[in-house]
Parts: sequence; C-alpha cells; structure tokens
Amino acid sequence: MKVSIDASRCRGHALCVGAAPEAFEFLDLEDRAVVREGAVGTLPDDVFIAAARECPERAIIIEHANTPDSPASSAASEGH
Amino acid sequence: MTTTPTTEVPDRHELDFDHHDAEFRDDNKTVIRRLHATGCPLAHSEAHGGYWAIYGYSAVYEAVQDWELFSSVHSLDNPKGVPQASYPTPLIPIDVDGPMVQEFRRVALSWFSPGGAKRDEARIREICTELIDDFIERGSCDLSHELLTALPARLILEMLGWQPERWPEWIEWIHASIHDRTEHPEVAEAAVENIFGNIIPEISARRANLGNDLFSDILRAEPGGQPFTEEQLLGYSYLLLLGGMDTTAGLTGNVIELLDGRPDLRQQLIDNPGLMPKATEEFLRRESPSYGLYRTVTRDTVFHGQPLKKGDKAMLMFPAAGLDPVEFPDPEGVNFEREGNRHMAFGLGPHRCLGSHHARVMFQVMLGEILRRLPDFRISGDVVRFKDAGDVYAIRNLPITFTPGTRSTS
Repeated sequence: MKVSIDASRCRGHALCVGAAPEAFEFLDLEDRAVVREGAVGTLPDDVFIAAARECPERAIIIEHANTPDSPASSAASEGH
Repeated sequence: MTTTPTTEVPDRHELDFDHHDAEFRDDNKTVIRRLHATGCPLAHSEAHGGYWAIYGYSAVYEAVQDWELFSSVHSLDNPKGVPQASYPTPLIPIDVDGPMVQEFRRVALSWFSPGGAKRDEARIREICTELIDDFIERGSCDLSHELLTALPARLILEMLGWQPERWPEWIEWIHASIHDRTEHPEVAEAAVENIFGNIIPEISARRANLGNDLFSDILRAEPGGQPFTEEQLLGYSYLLLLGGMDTTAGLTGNVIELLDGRPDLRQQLIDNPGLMPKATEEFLRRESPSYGLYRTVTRDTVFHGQPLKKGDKAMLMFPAAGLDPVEFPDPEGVNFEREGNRHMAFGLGPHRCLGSHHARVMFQVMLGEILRRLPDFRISGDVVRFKDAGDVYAIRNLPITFTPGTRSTS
C-alpha cells in the first residue's frame, strides 16, 4: 500500500494527526501534514484508511498495490 | 464536476428563507432539516436583495474548492455578504483570493499552528481556572459572559500583546459589528469605527516598541514582499479579534445548552474524558455557530442544476452541510464514536479557519473544566440568544446554577 498527502489539497486541519499521530506529522510552518517516514508498512493499513476517512479535504491518497493477493482498491477510493 | 456551461437556463429553486430571521435563531435545526428535505443542495432566496444559500454537503465542498467561481474578494466596488458587509476595507485574508491568501496566513502561522495551540494550552487553562474561581463560590453565573466569552477574548488580546482587561469593551463592539449588522447597520458601523479607532493607537504604540507577540510579528511581516498598509493592518487585526472573540464562545454555549438537556451525554464525558477529542469533532459538526461565510459568483454558470449569475451573492452554510443526511447518517444524533466525520465547521479550502487549533483547545479546556468543577450545572433561567443568529449562531446569556465549589487559587 502507498499513502501520500496531496499537498495542494491539504489545508492544515490536522485531523489525520489527531486520529493517528504515529502515522502522520504536522509541519507547523507549512500549514500541512505529511506521512511519517517509515510508517507505511510498519503500521496496519487500517490506521491510514481510517485517518483518510476523517480528512475533510480528501487529501490523503491511498493506493493499493495492484497484485492478485492484495485487497481490492475500493477502500482507497473511499479516501478521496 | 457539476458546473457546466449551457445555453438553456433552468428555473431557480426559490425558497422563502432568511438566515437572519427569528425562526432561524429560535430553531435553526428545523430550518436546516427543511432545506435538506427539498433534495436540492442550494436554494435562492429573495431576502436581502437576493442570495443563494448553499447547504448540501457536496455542493459546499465543490463551491469552496472552486474559488475562481465562488470568489471571496470584498471591496467597495464589489462588496460581498448577505446583506452586504458594512465594513469598507477587505478583511485580510478572508476577503482575498488566490496565492496571497497563504502569504497573509503565513504571517501568523507559528502562532496558530497545532504546535502554537499546544504551547498556549497551559495559559488557556490558567485563564479558565481564574475565571471559574471568580464565580464558583457563588453557585451561579452567566456562563456565557463570565467564562465562554471572556476566555477567548482575553487570550487573543494577550496574544496580540494588547491590554487583556479591556476585553469587555472589545467584546461589545465585536458583538455589535456581527449581531446588529442586519437590523441596525448604523450600530454595527459605529462599532466597526470604534474597533478601527482603537486598533490605530495599538499600531503606533507597538511600532515604537516591537516585542515577542503576535502583533509585533504582524507589524514586522512582509507578505508577498511588502509590509502591511495601515488599512490592511486594520482588516487583519479586526479579523483576529472577530475570529477569537465570538465563535468559540458560540460553539461552547451551544454545547452546554445541548448537554443540559442530555445528562446521558454529560455523564459519558465525565466518566470517560478520553472521549473528548472525538466528542469535540461531533460537537463541531452539530453545534458550529459559524454560518455567515459568503462568496460572490464570478460568471454565469449552472451549478448543481441551478442557474448562477455573475455577481450573485452566495452563502456557504458550513454548519448546515454538517447536518446533511446524505453525508451523515442520523445527522441530528450525537454519536461520539462517529467515523468519517468530515464536518466543515472550520470551513474548507484555502480559507480554513486559521484559529481552528486554538478553538479546539479552548473548547476542550473550558468544557473539561466545567464538567470537572461544575459537574451538576443546570440552566437556571432564560437562555438569551443573539437576536440575529444569521452569521454567528450563539448565546448571549446562559444563566446556570451548580453546587458551589472552592477556588483553585487564592
């Protein structure tokens, strides 16, 4: 799974950081959040999917690897 | 996208609606329920010279992202607002479009970021403790005036480095500038003159003596490579006062009134303070006071099936979007476990409320301390709402009684 935050959509609500501080961090002087380095793959996918559902700007982009074993990407499209 | 150029102009969805009227003030939820029940996400009203109310969740979301169609610019030639705003100069940055919005916001970002709000939490708690100490032995108070209004007002004045003890004066002018502007525009205009007239001496005093406060940072700043003009400083400062002084108090008062009628919810929060972060978002969704956010349509188009004309006024009803049953199941229910709570209480897009992180901290500190120190509070008299609730849906007087307690400080 790949997770990123679209910097052009993120408006600094910081709700992802509130929902999953271990997964996201906030750049105070840039007024936006980013995915913590190394968080994807270490933390359960659900952490990111749940946080994406709380983003009012729909700025969190989740892409599932396109392999036969991976879950369908339906959860991802809910995120944005 | 649902915005399409067309040669066929559909009929307008007309509604008899006025967010400044008594019906909206007395029971905004019923009015909003009726709006959503039309099945159309926006409606045109003939009140105040005509305007569009946009209340459907998806329509508000699209409108706010498309700032080129729904412009925030306010100027004497092209005033915005419903009715049109009475202040002469644009309030920076909410009355501006495009890349300069972020340049202007950047000036105050270090103060209003999540980190800034966290740094201020201890001070917010101190002010809250002092204010509650002032009435806790009495067993009664006007919670709206003595705590909910006083705390945010004192905090923003402290951040600016202005005299915090002058908060009652500033509050009177700020309230008049918002809540009297429709029925008594001359009162609102006089209040704005008072506000500007009192900001001017603060500018000259601080210019001569810059320090480590928010206002000094504003005076030092060169957004887009130029320092603020005096006119811009007036608008920027007024907006900071406006944002700081009315809305957080409004939210918290609305929530206290809700909890008075819902002892079950109050008990949940007392028993489990860990619910507070998610509860805050649910309260923001359901009880946000901030309705009066306006735009001007910049070209003829069809939006969600409705014919918009260049120059039309539009109101983005963010709190109504939070009550849209299409987006939120059981929208008037209070569910602290609600998932996917993408409410718009702080607006969305480039103009997201700059003070949102402070608002959350102030709200949580005030509600937490009320539940800790006045857990059996009851509303004990008439709740007086501001007569005009069209811009900020808030309580002016909230009399409560409670078992008297002891002061925390001497």
